[in-house]
Amino acid sequence: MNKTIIVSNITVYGVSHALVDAACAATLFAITALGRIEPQNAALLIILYDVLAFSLQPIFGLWVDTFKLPAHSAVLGMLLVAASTLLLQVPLAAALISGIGNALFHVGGGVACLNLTPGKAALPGIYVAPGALGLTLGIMIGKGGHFVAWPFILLLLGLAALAIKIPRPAIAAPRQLPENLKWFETIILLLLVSVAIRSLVGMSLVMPWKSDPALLMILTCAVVLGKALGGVLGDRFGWMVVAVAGLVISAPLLAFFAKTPAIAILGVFLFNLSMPITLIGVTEMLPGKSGFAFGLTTLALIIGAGPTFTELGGLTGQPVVVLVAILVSIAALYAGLKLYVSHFRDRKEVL
Amino acid sequence: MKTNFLFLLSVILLSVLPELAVFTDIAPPGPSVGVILIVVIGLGLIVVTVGGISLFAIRAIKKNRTPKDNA
Repeated sequence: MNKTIIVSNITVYGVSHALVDAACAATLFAITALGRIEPQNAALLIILYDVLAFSLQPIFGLWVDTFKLPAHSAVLGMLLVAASTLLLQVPLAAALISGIGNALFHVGGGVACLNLTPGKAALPGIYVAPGALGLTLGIMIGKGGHFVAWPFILLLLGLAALAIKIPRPAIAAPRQLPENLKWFETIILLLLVSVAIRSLVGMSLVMPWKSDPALLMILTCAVVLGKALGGVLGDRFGWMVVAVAGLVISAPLLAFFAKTPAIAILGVFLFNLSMPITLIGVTEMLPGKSGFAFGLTTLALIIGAGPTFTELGGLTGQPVVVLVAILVSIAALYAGLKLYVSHFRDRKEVL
Repeated sequence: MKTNFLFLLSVILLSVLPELAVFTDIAPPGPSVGVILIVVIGLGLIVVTVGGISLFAIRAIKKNRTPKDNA
């Protein structure tokens, strides 16, 4: 594919991803910080937003795959998120619109980036990575009471205009799957289980030092780098090696040293290396359905995060539980990738 | 702040009182357990429904990709 198309798309969608997540988080946390909602209701509002933003993506993904309109989905999402920043006075509407907008944007941008270099994990990882930075900055802005809507609106409108203007990648022709589809659902399920458990662990880790803004920013950079480099390293050295090794090394670091910033930050970096690899793994299993595949991974994320929204959150943060959870995630990822290699690999990627 | 006549006389409108109250042993009014339960069940249903649709879609994709001889 033309290098200009790749660079322009990954830049516009990557930056937009950070901005969309920042706008959503800033809006929701500003609603709480400015006292527009009771503290008890604030948690419900954020859960409502999360459920909409993450669980609707498979449905929107199927829509994008059917009509082949990823850029339109992304732009519509950006416009909805921009509109939601004006709704601080109506918290429920803000959560609904920002959640739906976020889902539409993620799927649209995801499909665009997955089609830039089909079968490669690097660009999808680079597209997803800035979201963590946007989320952290958005929460800081919202909580700090410094939220102003118009900069977000202007930037989102500008990026939406760019997303319409830049040359779009051609939707890749779906590759042929082998005739024997015996392990089809099993592989998808194993990869999604790995994603869900990763989400559970990520939401459960107790890191009291995160209250230090400097350490929080370093931690966020570790997440961003892990996701961005995971795909690059995976394409270079092999998906299995990078993803499984990253999780194996991260397991003791996160389970037993979460309270030590330097070790935990390294653990978080390694832990996130597998993210683009599970995404591309699911996408490769569903040729021509990259929007749906992208959505399945976010559905797995919200299902995995579910227990942390309840009283179980205290239990899942225990070191032994974290260790066991990561080991189960490793087993699922290893089995899923191994079965994929044995039965479905037809590209020349390094595994 | 300008001190007005009502404050000087220690008279405050009744509607202002709840906003000035400091709750000590009683939690401030929040959503009832029923409302929380309905919201949580509703959100859970969304996830379960989308999960079900996704499983159905995966099976349908598999069926469409399976050659007729093997189906």
